[in-house]
Amino acid sequence: MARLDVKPTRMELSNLKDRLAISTRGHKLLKDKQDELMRQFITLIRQNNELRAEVEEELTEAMRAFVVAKSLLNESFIEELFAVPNTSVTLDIQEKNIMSVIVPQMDFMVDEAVKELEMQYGFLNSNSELDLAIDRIKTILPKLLKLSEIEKTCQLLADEIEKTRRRVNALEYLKIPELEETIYYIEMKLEENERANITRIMKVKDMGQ
Amino acid sequence: MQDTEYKGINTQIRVAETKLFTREDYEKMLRAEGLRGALDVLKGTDYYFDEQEVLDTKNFDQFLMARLKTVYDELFEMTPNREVVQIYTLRYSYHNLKVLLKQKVKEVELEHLLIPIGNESISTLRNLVQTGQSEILDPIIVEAVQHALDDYNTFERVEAIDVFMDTYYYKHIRAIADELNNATISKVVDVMIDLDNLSTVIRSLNQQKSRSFLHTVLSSSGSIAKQAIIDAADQGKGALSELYLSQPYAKDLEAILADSRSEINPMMLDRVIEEIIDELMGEGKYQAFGPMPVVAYIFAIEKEITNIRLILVGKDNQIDEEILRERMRPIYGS
Repeated sequence: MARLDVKPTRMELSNLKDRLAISTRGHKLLKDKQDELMRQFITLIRQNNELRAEVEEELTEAMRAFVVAKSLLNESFIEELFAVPNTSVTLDIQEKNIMSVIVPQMDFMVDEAVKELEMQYGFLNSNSELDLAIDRIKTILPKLLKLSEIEKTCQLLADEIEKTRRRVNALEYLKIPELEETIYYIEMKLEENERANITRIMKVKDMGQ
Repeated sequence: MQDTEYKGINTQIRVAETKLFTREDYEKMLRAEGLRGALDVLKGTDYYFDEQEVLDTKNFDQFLMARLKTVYDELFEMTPNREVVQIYTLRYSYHNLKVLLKQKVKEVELEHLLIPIGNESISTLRNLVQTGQSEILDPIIVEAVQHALDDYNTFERVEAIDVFMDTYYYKHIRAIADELNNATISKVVDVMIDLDNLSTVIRSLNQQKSRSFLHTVLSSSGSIAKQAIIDAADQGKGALSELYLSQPYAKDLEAILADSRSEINPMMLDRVIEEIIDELMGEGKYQAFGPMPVVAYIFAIEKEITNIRLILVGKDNQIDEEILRERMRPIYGS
């Protein structure tokens, strides 16, 4: 293990001891933070997995229904129906703090006036299967938006866990042992100096007699 | 309109009919291994396409619409009354109007959605949408556009453009049928509008739409009064079934409407509607004179394109053969 390149003085020893105390405290705090982040992350990732499986299953079915419905109609007809969306969604992002990680909290607001609008698209160039497919996709949308929020949170938490893990490891396996070794070295050096001093005094005293 | 005027074209139609896809052709496509196999069946037919390009882009409508355009162009040239062909092409003209109107009011680029099929050229329709006036186009189309633009200027509802165009489309084909004064065509148009109204009502009821919604979307150009349909819809599916089961085509509707306690399956209904119209076409198909063979041929080619698109999309997305068979539209000659 490498030793710090410092002068073996009492002042330095005192500084290093302070640094060791801070590092040990920091290590404990970071370790606690890492544990809590992991706990939150595991809860979220479970929720994310369940929601993702649910959304993917529903989306696959809805897309399959949509493909069948659109195969009976000219593609330009369908694209024309939805070329100009009559629904606008407002996204309001709030920040939430999880163990000093800023994660998004998304609120999606669909225009109320549009929600009440009965006519969404023309009936001539569409069919009942398309109605069902669109209906299905509409019901998936809130879940899809929720999933995007959870996935982003998980991503940010994962980044933070990775960063914290590096810091904990750096403190645990590098910084603290380095400080401990240097402190030990200075203490040994100082003790050695002390002994040398005593021996010298004893020698001087002997010479005088 | 003299029925004998159609003597020549009906002979040509008989020749063209021999090129229509038969049940065996569809069977080959359905049993084919994947999209490439289904496309192989189409090789050597009147559908011209670059196989690699289609496999890459999956843009089936491009070559299907090209084929349809060729058919309509030929028919417009051969048919003594362009209005006979217009019964079908108006759907594309009104679609183009929707696209152009949405482009105008929302200032978005939708040129790729225009379909160059119809008696009215896209540039003429564009001019109408820009100026709100036209001396060349039918007054019904002009009125439709003016009405839609006025409504948008007042209420700014984009979706109302679709409603106006759909309503005027039915009004327009009704006017053409009246002008042609052919009993079978009138019957076909009546059935088309009445049954489209029925499909709309069933879809609306399933989506819990209001009475006023029905007032907006239903067409009053059919043989059954719009008000009668709305009143029946108000009383429930039983009354609606009763209203439609008194029609001449009730026999075919019976299976899905008779048991009004259960849900009416709109998908089955869409298919039965096509079958009823196909039966009507069958009546006119073998008339030696008059425009019915042309109308029946156009119906057949439209259904052929729908079926081919269905199979190609199905093959491309590995959709079960049974699902495709269930949705196949009437096949010519069977």
